[in-house]
Amino acid sequence: MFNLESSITEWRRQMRAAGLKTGRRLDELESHLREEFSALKSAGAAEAVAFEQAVARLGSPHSVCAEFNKLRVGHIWAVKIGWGIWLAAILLVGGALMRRLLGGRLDFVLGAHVLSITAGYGGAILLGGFGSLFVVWGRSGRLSTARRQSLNRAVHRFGPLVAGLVIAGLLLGMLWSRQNWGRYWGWDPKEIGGLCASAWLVAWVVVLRSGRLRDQAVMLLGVGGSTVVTLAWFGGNLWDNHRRLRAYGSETGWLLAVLLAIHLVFLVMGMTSARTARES
Amino acid sequence: MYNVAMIERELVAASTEPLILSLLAKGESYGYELIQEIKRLSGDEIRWTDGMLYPVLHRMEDSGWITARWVEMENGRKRKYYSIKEGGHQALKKKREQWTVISTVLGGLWKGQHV
Repeated sequence: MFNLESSITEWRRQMRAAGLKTGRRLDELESHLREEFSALKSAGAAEAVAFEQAVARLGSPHSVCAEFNKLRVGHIWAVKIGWGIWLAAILLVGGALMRRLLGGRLDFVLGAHVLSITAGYGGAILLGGFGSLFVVWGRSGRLSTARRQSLNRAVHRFGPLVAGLVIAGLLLGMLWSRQNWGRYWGWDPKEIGGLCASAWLVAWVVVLRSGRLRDQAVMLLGVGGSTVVTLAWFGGNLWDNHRRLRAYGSETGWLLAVLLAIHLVFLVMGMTSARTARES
Repeated sequence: MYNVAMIERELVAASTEPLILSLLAKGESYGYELIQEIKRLSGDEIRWTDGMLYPVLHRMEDSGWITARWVEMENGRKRKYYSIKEGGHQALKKKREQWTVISTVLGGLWKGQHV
């Protein structure tokens, strides 16, 4: 006696054995299999025959898996190096914070805030770097499909994580502020910077997910996000230090100016090439 | 990669992306429906091996041309719908230009010829 559910369970087992491990992909293929089965059954085929034909039309497990395996295109070196530097920096900061935490010289919430905000801000600047590469390669005609795909994938997958880290950092900062200063929010320049960075990154991720913008525009908004984060990170210190008349504020002034100038160059390059593309 | 009744597999393979983009430019759709639509439009002459369509759809998703979402149907089962993105419209425009050139050249060469 034919049983559709047990037949599908067996078919899924065969697909997994052939190497298709991703549940979502299997779900989609199963959805297709069920549609085909229903159509064949409605056309008058016996259930067992309809299922056999539906499976045959879908293709053998090995051939389908072989096609999916072709999707595993590696990232370009620039993306790998960028990820590597980011990860190494996070590990270094995390290690240093952990030592201070274990030594009783750091509050846990503050440590978590510093790690989260550093990872988020660093990630946002890395994404801005990917956007800048996209702009430069696009302008010089060296944006190959592999480069475009790798940068796109990196931005789409990394963007939500970065936005989440910045928001988590902001919330942890608020919690620490409440515990130590008696208030969640004080319109401090760093807080305002964190809020602006969070708002920009969230809006960017929403736009990214909607798919309504061209790749070039998405990348330029990424460079914009990096600019906002740079202002929040270094500008917050500068503003805060000048306001409190601390001498070391000037140390970050030149760095901020250089970083903003670099961002501006990429933004202008991207915008002019986008305009040229539209006009042509 | 493809089972093809009449048209050679290389040609079908090359036309897969523009066909998918063109169908999605008309509106959101899902894998099974895309296959049925192509069969109908081609008079059953273009036949994709069903399971091979999905890696292509996923590659196009990775390229930023299309986007997907899971929709729960009335029977409680889920179906993955694809829709075209701005990048897909751009890619379709380019592919359309390329296919038009090929079609025009061949049309010109074959004009008046009887095969």
